[in-house]
Amino acid sequence: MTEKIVEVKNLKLNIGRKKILDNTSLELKRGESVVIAGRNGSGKTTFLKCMANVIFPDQGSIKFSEEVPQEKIGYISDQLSLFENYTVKQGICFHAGVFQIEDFDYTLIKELKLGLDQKIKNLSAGERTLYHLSLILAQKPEILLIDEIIHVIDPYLREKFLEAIIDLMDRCQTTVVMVNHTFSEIEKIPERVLVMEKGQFILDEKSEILGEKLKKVVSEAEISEEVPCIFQRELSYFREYFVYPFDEELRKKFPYDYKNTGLNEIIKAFIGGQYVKKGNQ
Amino acid sequence: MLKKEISDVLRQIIYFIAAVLSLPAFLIITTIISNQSYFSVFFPVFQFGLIFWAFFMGSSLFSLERGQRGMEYLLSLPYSRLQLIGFKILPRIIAVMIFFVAFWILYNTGGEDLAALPFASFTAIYFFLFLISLSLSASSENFLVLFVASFFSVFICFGLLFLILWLVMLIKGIPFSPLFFRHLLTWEHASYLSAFILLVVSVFLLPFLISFVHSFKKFDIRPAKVYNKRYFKFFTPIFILGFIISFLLTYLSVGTDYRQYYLTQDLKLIESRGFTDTKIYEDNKVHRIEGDFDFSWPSFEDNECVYARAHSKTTGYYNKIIRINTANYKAEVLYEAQPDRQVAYQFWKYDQTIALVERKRKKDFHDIQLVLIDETSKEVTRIPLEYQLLKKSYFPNLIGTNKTDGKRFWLMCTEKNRKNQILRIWEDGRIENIGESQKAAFYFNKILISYTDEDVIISKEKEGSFETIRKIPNSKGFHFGTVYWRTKLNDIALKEIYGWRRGPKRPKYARLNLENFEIEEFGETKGYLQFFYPDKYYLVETDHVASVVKVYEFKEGKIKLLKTFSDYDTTEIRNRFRLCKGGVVIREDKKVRVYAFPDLKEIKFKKL
Repeated sequence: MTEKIVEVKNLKLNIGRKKILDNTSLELKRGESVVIAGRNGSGKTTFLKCMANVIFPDQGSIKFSEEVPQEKIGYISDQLSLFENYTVKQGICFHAGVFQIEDFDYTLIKELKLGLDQKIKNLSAGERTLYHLSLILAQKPEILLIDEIIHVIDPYLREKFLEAIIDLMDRCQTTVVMVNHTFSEIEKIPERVLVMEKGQFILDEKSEILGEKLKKVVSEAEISEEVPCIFQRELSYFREYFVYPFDEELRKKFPYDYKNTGLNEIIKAFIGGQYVKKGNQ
Repeated sequence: MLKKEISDVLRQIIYFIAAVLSLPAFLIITTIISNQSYFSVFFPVFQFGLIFWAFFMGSSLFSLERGQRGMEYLLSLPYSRLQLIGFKILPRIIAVMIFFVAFWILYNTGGEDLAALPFASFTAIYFFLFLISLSLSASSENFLVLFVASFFSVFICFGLLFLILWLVMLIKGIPFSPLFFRHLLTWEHASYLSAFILLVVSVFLLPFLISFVHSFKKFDIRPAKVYNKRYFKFFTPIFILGFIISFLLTYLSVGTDYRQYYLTQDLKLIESRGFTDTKIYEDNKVHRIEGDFDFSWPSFEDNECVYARAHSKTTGYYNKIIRINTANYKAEVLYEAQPDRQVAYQFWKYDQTIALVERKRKKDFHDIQLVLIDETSKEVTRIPLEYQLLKKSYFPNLIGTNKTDGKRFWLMCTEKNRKNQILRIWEDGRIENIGESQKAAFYFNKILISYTDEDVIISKEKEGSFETIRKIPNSKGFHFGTVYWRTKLNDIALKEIYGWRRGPKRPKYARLNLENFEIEEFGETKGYLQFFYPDKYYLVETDHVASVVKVYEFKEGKIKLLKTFSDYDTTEIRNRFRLCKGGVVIREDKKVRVYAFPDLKEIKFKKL
């Protein structure tokens, strides 16, 4: 679990004058499961596409370990991009040919009851996601990159999808990076949570200690400038402050009412439009 | 991946072939209405279809993936961007080549006369469009945008080439002539120029291709403007560099020296420098000839006068007949057609009449006329040649004229599908088809020489009709008489005529004895045969390896070496070795040497 599998350093990417990625860096270890959350336009999908070689950053580097050739990177895009005029069978043949897959596992295809002569464009979004996943699984990927697609799958297929990923992680120690808005659908997965804002990771924690590291303070008055606060929310009579990183020393020095907060609320706080980053008030 | 691309291209080929094969349904109606053969309607449409095919093959590099929302999937495959380009381009290049070969075969099997665009122009546009649309294929997802951008870029490339040539000519003070541009697209006549043009145009083409490869290395799914910005950032400086290189190449390649020389029988040297300047040198004098005309090479001499075709300034076509009087140093335009009409290569003079064929090119047929000019009164008589065979031919060759029962007729030979039809035109405009000949026929003193695959046919004209008097086996395929075109032969009692055939390696020459009708071979030669009225035959033999030119004279079946020119550089393409009625004129760079017949001794002109 300690072997570094990819190192992303100082990615910068602009589209026009808009900064999409701003000195973004990240290290991932073998077998790690990571969820990247953030509001729309924060750069998380672009970051994932950079890792998938679909977008080239303007600056910075992405270095995969030597054991991760490009054939071992699986990518499922939010567009569910495939050659959709192909039939299921043609898509499998093509993918198997490109990735030199000798024994394709048809289990998922059979479970979904997909006809091999069915055109990919005629599959539902859920079927297509699972079909795409079956292609990627056949690659036995070292890294699996999944963009925001969970929400398009019905609960039954979502369960199958997540089971397949968990099975892959168990079998192959695959590193999984998912981009998602919410955690309720995928709470089984993440070991590490990243939150992205304006092209930078503003939060990067193990999910198990995230509750300890991030607290909420509800106060009528402004809290001290010295308290590390990444977001605040102003309501009519009080303010909500999200303190990060929190430690017990902070409680001694600034004895506010630090409240625990759930993973979903934390993410909501980051991606909710009504919150503003402290310092940008 | 390559398999996928081959299968995609094969599918596109099938669609295109299906479209081509479905053309009959639409074209058959046109053929019925216009009373034209199916092929004559099909071929030009096919030619335009191929231009769009070239564009489509280039611009559709990513259209299938884009249409199937598969671009992200494609880019996430374990291939570098350059590998992706390689996989995509290879089958497309093969497809473009296959259809070009198909076009070439059709062009050479009857399509030549029907083509909407000349072969050279078509080839240039076809490949340019393919390569440029290919280089722009990643710039936009919009097919219409790619269509406009590709055609516009091709137009810009050719436009800039013309602009550069025009600028260089302006700077060097070379008289501007549209003819110069016309030669650009018919480089059969100027092979060295074509190589130069290809080079210069490549300098324009390369920026597109280099920019494409360079920019595509970082191609991704970001908005096209990001890719285009990178493309143009790289493209602009190398395109400007290409323009500068092209300009310099053109400047160095286009010579300022356009002098042409002709030595007359009475050893007067005519110098032509285009529209601006014509001079006649003799001994220690030089005479400037007034007149605003440009001629390339005199057609014949008669009574101290030299006759030549001259160009129109506006269209570059040969549309004038000029006469230069070397006795009084005056030139005059005997005849001038409209600038859009062309005067044929061969024109004849008999008695006081100059006869020529003139045409106006039209898309479906040519408006062809026989024009008779009275040299004294300059009165012009036109005989429209309303004959289907003539209208679809290039210039018919005027091969002879005579009178029968006091009525004049002219004989013409017109080629159609590699066979010649011999036509007789009467003064009242009647046209008779005399017969067919495998090669261009030849007429002199009431004798008509025509060909079948096996024989030379000698026919004698008797009371207006032609009777075969002899068939000479000609298994080796000699072709007699072409060297006599542009010469009046009605008053010469010929005993022999000379001919040639294309050998497997080199041409062979032969003599047809008109007394015993036997063909006598000379053997291989490296040169060309030239005849000067009334009885001079010369052979100019060039040995490029030894850099030697030899001039021989033929007489009664014997060859006599007149002179060996061993100090002439045959490898320099701009050097000129010209055999004239009066002798030989050699131009090497600015130096001009003149040798006079009969023994080709060098003569000097003090003012030259």
